[in-house]
Amino acid sequence: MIRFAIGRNLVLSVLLGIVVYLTLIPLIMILYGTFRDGPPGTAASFTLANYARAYGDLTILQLGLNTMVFAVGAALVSFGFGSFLAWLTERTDTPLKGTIYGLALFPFVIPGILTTIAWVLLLSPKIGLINRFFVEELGFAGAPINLYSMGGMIWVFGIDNITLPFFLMAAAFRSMDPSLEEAGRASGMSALSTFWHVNFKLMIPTIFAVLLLLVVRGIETFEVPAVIGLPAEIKVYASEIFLALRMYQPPDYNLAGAYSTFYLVVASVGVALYLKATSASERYATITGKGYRPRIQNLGPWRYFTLSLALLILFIGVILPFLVVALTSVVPIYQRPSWELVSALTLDNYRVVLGLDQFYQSLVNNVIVGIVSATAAALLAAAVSWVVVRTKLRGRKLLDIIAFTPMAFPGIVIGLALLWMYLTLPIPVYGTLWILVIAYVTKYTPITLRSCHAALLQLHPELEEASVISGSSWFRTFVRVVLPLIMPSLTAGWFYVLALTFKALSLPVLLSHLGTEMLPVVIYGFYESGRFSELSALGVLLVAGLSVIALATRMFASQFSVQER
Amino acid sequence: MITATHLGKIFYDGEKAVKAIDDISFAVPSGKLFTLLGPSGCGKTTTLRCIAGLETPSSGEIKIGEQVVFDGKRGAAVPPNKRNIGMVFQSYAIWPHMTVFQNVYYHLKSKGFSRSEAKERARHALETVGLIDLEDRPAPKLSGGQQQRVALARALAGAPEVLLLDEPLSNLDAKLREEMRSEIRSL
Repeated sequence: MIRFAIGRNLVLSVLLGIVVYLTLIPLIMILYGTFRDGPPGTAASFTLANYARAYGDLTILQLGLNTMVFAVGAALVSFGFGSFLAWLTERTDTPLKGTIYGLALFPFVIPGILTTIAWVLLLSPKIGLINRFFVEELGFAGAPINLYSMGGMIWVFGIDNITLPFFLMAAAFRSMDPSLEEAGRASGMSALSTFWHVNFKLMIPTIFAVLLLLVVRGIETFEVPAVIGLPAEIKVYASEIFLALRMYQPPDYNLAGAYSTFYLVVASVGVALYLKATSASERYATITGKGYRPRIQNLGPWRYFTLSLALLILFIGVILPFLVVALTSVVPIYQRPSWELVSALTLDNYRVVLGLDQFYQSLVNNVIVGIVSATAAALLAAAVSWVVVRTKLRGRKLLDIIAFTPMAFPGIVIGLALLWMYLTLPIPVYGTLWILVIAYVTKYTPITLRSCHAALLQLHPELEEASVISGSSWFRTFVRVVLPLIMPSLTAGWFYVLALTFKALSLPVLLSHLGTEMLPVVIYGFYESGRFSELSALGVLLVAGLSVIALATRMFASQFSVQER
Repeated sequence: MITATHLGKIFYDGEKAVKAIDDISFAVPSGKLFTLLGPSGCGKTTTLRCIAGLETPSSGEIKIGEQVVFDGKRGAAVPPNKRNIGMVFQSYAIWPHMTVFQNVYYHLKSKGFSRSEAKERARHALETVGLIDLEDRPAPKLSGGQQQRVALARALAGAPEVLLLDEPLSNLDAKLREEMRSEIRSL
């Protein structure tokens, strides 16, 4: 018993050490920065002026309101579309499931900055293709749709984020024991009331967790607020921080830090809510060793209707934006598609991109940093999750809270925090690829942690106990029973993190330097200098590369999925 | 021989203490079947889990053979993976990522059997429960009764000192139940 206990406590201490180092220390450093009157690494003195500047007037309230409307609105859009598609593919006989699945996954491989610009190319009142079609072909007096509005921001961010709820809800639908539904029907409930009383109520913790994740994503995102919000003069917190860091010369690190304390508050609230949701869900262990067979709903002729609906959503949300980018990548100047344009099609933009040393350098950086970060985050998350969900060790709740907290921090805030930390402390990672790995693991472990928690909560504890009874140590049980059973979730999380390193801009933008650039930073460079054609070409190449990885991952994950074949 | 003396287990539901086991003592001689009987929720499963080491009792003492596996006074307990126990769980706990054969084989490997002996014992155990024809079938594709037999085969295969059965025959039909009963008895 004593050896047993020491083994577990040692693991807990090591994990706590890692997450404290990754999460709390940078946080302390950024707070320290908000009370200084100079940039990191310089001699500066104590001041409260940064807070006075950030929170001194009433515009801060407008900022908070905008942020919440944007985040909640986009979360509802994403959740609605995402879970509808997840239900169709997992629990109905709608045809072409593979196609729906593939298309719903597609936004994963498209950087947010690319989709956002695509929607500008489609819906901008001046140059947007759709608006120009209405004005020039249908004789409208003015552009009927204005992208530069709160509605536009919610639409673009919402439709661009259907993949996360799709993935999480699909996993939840897949692992629900159908005998629970059958029991409901057998008790005389109608299909609808079974759905309400059994499926829906069992899924409340999952739904809540997914919505929470989406809202937090909305609060911290900055591509849409920057590209659409700033011209529309709709400011949110993330874009204010972004302005303080990117638009002011020199960058005002202290003011940015003061703004980002808002996120500390949001993070605490978010973490508290999330813990409340998951502590309730421990009662809902729906995968048991008794085996489960997801049941398929027979839709009859309605399946063609659901198919058309799914394809329409996916065409508008996924294919259309990508088509515009693809088109832009093969024309010299952005213009409306026409027959004359066909003769002007060119691959020049691709030649330019492929001729850049910067392209190869950043590609290599991205592959190395992405794989190392995704693997580290997946293993850390699996270990943390197991300790939190399965053991009764004191301190596990704390571990959970600390590891989850970075979820609510915008990439740019983490970048800022790491800048403060490594310019102040004598650890030589600043300017190397390591600081990027540290940043990604910090930021993205919570995402993998969520899917691990969900997967573990649904595994019956007796599966592990049976292994321990067999004489396996907890470590062997973890490797041979727990890891394989959560492998589908873990692989999904692994790929998600890898893809994010190719997509997310806010994290590397402060930490990348000449020689350690990541691909999104290169794309952003093109955007800032208005090189839309090259940007599109690079975007298409990136999407193609990520698609290959996505397919490989899907094939790998499907080996582990437990379902009726 | 299992000896439980003044065994007690208290669960805490918030501030409220619930006595799942209240000072029970019993002795099971070697080679005997011992049945815990009672309404559901009376602590049968908790008692089994204490013997297995999956729960730590609040007080009392448990001996398996001559070895003290739990001593409430010193608070010392032998971890479950160091007790030589076979157990059939209420949920069967068949590992869904393994085949029928692998379920038994993994158990035996964990017990420390060599590869060849584990294979032989796994085959034999599956023959005993009549599942040898299904050895390559993925575990989730079994019926409830078949899963129960896999769980039983797994529990028996390693020739454990103690066999703990948590409602092991509830899912079998009458004929199979009779066969299993005599099978268990003959062991």
